[in-house]
Amino acid sequence: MNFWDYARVSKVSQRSLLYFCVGLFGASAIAEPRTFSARVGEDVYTCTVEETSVGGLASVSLKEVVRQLGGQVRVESGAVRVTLLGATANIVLGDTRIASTHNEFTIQHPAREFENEIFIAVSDVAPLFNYGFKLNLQRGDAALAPPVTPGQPTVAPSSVAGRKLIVVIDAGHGGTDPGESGPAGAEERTISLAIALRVAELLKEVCTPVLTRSQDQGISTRERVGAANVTLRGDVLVSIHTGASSSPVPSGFEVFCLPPPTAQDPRLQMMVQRSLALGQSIANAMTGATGTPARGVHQVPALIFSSLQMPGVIVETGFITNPTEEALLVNAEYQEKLAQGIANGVVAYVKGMTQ
Amino acid sequence: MSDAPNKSNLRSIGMVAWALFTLVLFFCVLLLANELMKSGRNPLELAENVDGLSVPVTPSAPSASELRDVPIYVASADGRMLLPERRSIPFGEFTVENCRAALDELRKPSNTGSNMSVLPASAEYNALFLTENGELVIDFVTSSLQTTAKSTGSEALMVYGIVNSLTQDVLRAQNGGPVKTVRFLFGGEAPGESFPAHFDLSQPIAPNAAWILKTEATQ
Ligand SMILES: [Zn+2]
Repeated sequence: MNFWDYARVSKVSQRSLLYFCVGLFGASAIAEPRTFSARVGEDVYTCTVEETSVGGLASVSLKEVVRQLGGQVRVESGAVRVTLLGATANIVLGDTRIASTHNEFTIQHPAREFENEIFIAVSDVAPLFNYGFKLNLQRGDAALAPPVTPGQPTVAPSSVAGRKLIVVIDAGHGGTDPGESGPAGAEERTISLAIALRVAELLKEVCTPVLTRSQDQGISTRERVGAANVTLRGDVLVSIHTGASSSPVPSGFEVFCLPPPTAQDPRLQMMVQRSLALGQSIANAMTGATGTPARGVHQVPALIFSSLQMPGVIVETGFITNPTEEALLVNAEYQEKLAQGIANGVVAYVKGMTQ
Repeated sequence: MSDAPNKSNLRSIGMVAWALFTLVLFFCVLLLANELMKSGRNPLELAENVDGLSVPVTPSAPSASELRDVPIYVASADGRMLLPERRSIPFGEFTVENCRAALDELRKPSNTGSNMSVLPASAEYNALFLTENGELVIDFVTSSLQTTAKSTGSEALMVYGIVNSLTQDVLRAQNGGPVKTVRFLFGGEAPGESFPAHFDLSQPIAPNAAWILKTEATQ
């Protein structure tokens, strides 16, 4: 019996062989339990699955998550069909695009198949079930707490060492720098300031919101970061902008987080992790507030992140270069929805941090 | 009687002049080699290949090159991701020449009507060179990029569209190592705050596959 024959007949060896092969490509199998929970009305959904590192990415078995949530998974020639709560989502292996009964959206990392198992990144579990099945799934057992009414920031125990969390709200551009402008003449500096002022107002009871600018004034990125780090002594930063393209087609909101750390610095790693958690939380809440799925949550080396000493995110609230979206972005009602989405996302993040 | 010392003096002057001439020539060769290495060429290989006029003298001088299909990245119509498009470039003996050809392709409109090129047609650069450690330096003419959309997302697509295109191994030629990162300069200087307005280009940028749309063609 040669090695391959032995591997074929032994289930244990097949698994070892898989992990050996997967290991060659940078994956390992160090199991760690992960809990996700959701509340739909009075019903509570929870699942606890083993976390596995696949290609260096913290992942979990999609089949196991769906099974524990009471759904079904069918795999047919590279396509995965997930059925849950009367909705269906189609996932193509190796692709980040997902089409479900409720939404078409993208997740950050493509689903992968290893030995009859479908793996999905831990960070993509909540977005997949929230956009795909309207489940409001959260990491940990946060959902077991009383439900949060969408649109109203909850008064949460949002404190760090006995004080309220300081949230720096940065309205992009201003003064001589108008930022981008739309085909009808709307300016990014005005839209970002209007939304930032509303976010600050909505967060007042829960955190200590502080603004880098509260009027139309020009501040350099260096000054904004300096203020956030030193003068305002922020705990997190949310920078508000609009999106722009050379084409009038692109639309939707997008969130940008700190880039992956370049050094093995635990403090930096924690900042990046928290930036991603904040970004995902804001994207989820904005989806809830506007009814539109996020274009994505990306990690980029943005200028405002370059010397930032706290977790930060950039929210591009919509494409000012798209005529339809430009009209929405200057509309006070829509600005309120965007502001509520951002504020709810910050509150959910703060709740997660303090629990 | 005075003939012998005069001859000796003349010989000494001649020797000094010859030594000086040799020294100047040596420095000229060193400077030339340094310039060649800056532009991604290997001066030793050039010396081996000398056969009169067939050796290109400047990176832009076309070598006896073939046309080769290489992928470059364009932005998808919805502005979310990068997609590869095949373009035919004159494939030369120098990596930096191939990068120059690919960069020129990045300014051209997409093959499809809906996708978008990551650089405007107006984009110009002052210089392009490849350092020994695999850093491709592009010095853009700042004013030529004024029409570019300014947002974190659009700047990320532009930067990763360029970097993911130019760091491809398929552009590597026999002369010049692989391109590992791309450093962006604007008007010969490190980027300021006016452009790009959101993306941090103070450091060389490595390729990032997360921005490439996963399709069967790219897997
Ligand atoms: Zn902006």
